[in-house]
Amino acid sequence: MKTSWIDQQLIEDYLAERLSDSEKEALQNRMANDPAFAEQFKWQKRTMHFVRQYGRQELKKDLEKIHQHLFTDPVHRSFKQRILQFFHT
Amino acid sequence: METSTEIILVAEDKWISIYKNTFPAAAKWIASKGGNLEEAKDIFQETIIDIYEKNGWSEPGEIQNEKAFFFAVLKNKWYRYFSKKQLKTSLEEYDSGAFIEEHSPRQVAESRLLSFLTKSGEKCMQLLSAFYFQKASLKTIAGTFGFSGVRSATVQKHKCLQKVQLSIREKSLSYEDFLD
Repeated sequence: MKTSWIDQQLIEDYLAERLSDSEKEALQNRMANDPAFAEQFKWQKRTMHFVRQYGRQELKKDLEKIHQHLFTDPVHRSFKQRILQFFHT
Repeated sequence: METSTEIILVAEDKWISIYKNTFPAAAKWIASKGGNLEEAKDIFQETIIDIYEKNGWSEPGEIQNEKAFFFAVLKNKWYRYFSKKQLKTSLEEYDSGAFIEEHSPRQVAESRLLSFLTKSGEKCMQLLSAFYFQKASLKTIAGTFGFSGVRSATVQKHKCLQKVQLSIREKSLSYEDFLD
């Protein structure tokens, strides 16, 4: 199951909404008539979904580390205190 | 402190400065709505992630210039979270039994597959995420990942996309129904 470079790029452009109306239409026609291409489209779209989920997961990890850093490093003590006072009831 | 993702585009000190400049106002607002620190942290981080996913930040200072937009997204997120939380609380009162956090079979399947991809193909996931999620240029990617140039980064990106796609395809067969 090797994907041609050109098809991969075409699908990528479609998903990123970089195609003109006529190019979009051509791609949709091809999907309807070329099952192998339609399969490729489906899996590439799903792959992009997982790449985004991965990106979110990693960024979340990084933000979490920064949060911990700001709340534990004495250098940022005044920042921490400023935040905590909002939550005092 | 070692962070993994942002080294490519956004230096650590930039993240810290974004955090220090933006989090206090966010926390103050969420506290005024009755949220706790943990909730403020999650809502704040989710807002950053959403905006980052949509635009990427070639210039991370942008968030400082777009505070109004940032807070519109943040407030919206809080209100959605809050109404869910209220619903959950009223259900708990109604049915004093344990309220089990619901995860659909689809979510479970997805998170299993994601953790598989993270373990088995981390290098490719990093590369693809740098390009598609962080929206780094191929030139930046070539530099960060040690490729000889844009051409070589392009080839790697193509190969990685194929490789990850193949893994997803193989792994998905077992829970195809959930992922459709």
